[in-house]
Amino acid sequence: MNLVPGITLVLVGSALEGLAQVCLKQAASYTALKYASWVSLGALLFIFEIALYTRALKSLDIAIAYPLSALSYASVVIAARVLLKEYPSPQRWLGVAFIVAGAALAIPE
Amino acid sequence: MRCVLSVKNISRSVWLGLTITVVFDSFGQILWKSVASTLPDTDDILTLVLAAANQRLTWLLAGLLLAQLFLWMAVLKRADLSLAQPLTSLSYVGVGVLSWVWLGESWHWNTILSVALILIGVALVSFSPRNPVQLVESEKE
Repeated sequence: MNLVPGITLVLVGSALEGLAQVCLKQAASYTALKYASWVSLGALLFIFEIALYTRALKSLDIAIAYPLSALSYASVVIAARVLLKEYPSPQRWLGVAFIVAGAALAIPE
Repeated sequence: MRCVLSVKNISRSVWLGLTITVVFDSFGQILWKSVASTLPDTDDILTLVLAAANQRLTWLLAGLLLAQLFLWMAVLKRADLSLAQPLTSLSYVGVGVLSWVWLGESWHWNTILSVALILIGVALVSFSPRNPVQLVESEKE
């Protein structure tokens, strides 16, 4: 079975989660209208991610798809650095490297 | 030492919220795979949505995800995103075990090594001290 389409869907979904988490973190800093706006945008991105992940699960085992989705941790750290101006330490970046290596190993040969 | 202190700084309510999130996440993934497996082979979104809506498991999954969202928002109000989010990765172990026991999926050494690397990575990300650069920025504010 060709796993590439499923794997691609999980990768795109992981990138969307990074953006969605940034929206929710922004929402946590506000009240009322701005809160609702950021939560809505975050929720919309999550809906897209859900659709992509569900489609991917049609062709991928959960034992492959779920570890692959760990790349969302990398996208969250990168998005937090770029969009929220957080400063992840070198140790956090090393952790991201481990996660990327682990996700790569989840892909069957 | 600073790593231990950063973990101790997390309140009991945040730990509880994170634990429930991990349990919900593990069972949610198994439900998700179960629903996805029964959907028809089509790219027609309407057909897929209707097929999913006709399943009780879909509604159970939706309820679980909604509860998880509210719980997650409560956790985020009390913890840094870049710290709290990686801690939920413990669900990789839960999903691995449940996929084997519940769905009968096969596990290989690659899969086990993959989860091990992810957990190490998550531990490194989660338990690292805040970057001194960020501390200086916080003091300025």
